[in-house]
Amino acid sequence: MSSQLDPDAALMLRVKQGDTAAFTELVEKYKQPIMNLAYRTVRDMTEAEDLAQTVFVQVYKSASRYRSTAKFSTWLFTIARNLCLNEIRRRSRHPAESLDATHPDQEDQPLQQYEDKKTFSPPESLLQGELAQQIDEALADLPENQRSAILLCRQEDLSYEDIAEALGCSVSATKSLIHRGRETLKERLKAYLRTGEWKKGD
Amino acid sequence: MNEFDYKTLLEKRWRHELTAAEEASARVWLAQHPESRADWDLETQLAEALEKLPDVPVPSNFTSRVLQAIGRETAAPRPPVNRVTWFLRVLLPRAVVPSVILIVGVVTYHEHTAAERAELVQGVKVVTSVSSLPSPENLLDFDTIRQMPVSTGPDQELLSLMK
Repeated sequence: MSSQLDPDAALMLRVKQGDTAAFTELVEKYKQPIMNLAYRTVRDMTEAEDLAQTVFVQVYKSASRYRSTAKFSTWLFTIARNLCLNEIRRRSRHPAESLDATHPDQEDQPLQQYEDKKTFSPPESLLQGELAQQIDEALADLPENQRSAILLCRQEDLSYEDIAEALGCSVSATKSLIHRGRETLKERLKAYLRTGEWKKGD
Repeated sequence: MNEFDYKTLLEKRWRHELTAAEEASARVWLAQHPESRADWDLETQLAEALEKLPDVPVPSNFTSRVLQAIGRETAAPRPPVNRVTWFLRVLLPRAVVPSVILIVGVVTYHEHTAAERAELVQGVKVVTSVSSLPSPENLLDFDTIRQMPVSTGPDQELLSLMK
């Protein structure tokens, strides 16, 4: 795919040359879907923010390795998914340790250096309504690969081929993951979905 | 429309709302296959519910935090590399296996070369130890003598004639 066809790839080529404005544009465009993926993986707002931030730092540091033949969003979600997997592994090894824990080599640095101008509620109240809670809980109980497949499937700019590449499996395996994940969600949410109560907020 | 087309429509519905034409195809299929109706409705409801899933709030200063994190990482001076530590922790472990392979190879080659030379010297010794060959005149009647019948005893007839 040429950079003319993918504007994000064109921006990345500028990032490779040290263009911060181009990088800012990419962060602005993708911070929301990356935060969605991060939060629905780690289910902790602070950790999700740190994770999403790490994703973009990683993108910037790896810019020199980016090939414009690759679709940027696929490359970005591959990095995001790998970092999410690392976080899941880290949690399984050190269940009580938070990303906020002070690292030995950073002891002299303040824990929070940035003040957020926007106030936002704790995670529980961020999920608007019962529907979001129900689905979030059901999603959280899915195996990681099924959950990631379903969440990436919500990204309309990603084709099944792109999702498969980000997950590191074939297109048929990706569709199978989505199908199995949705079957579990349907089974779990069946009673709730059939009431139609969740549609009343429209 | 066949089952494959129906499944393709389902996969499309996973991602976005169907077009009017696709909806019409689905309705025709469901009219012919009422047993699929319940599953189709549930799939549609789940798709709608997933579409309604709210976005997670992103802090307003998220982008500036990312940029500052990058600035910190690129500006931070790299810790000085202690050469002894680098040798012990990085180079030495990496060099051990290739070094062992190299040493074994050199020793084996050396042993092989030495054995070949010893064999050659032995061959030269054998050749030099052979005494001088008989003169060619002694071998003039070699073929004739070789073709003579070999008898087990003296030729009595010839002996009596000679007497």
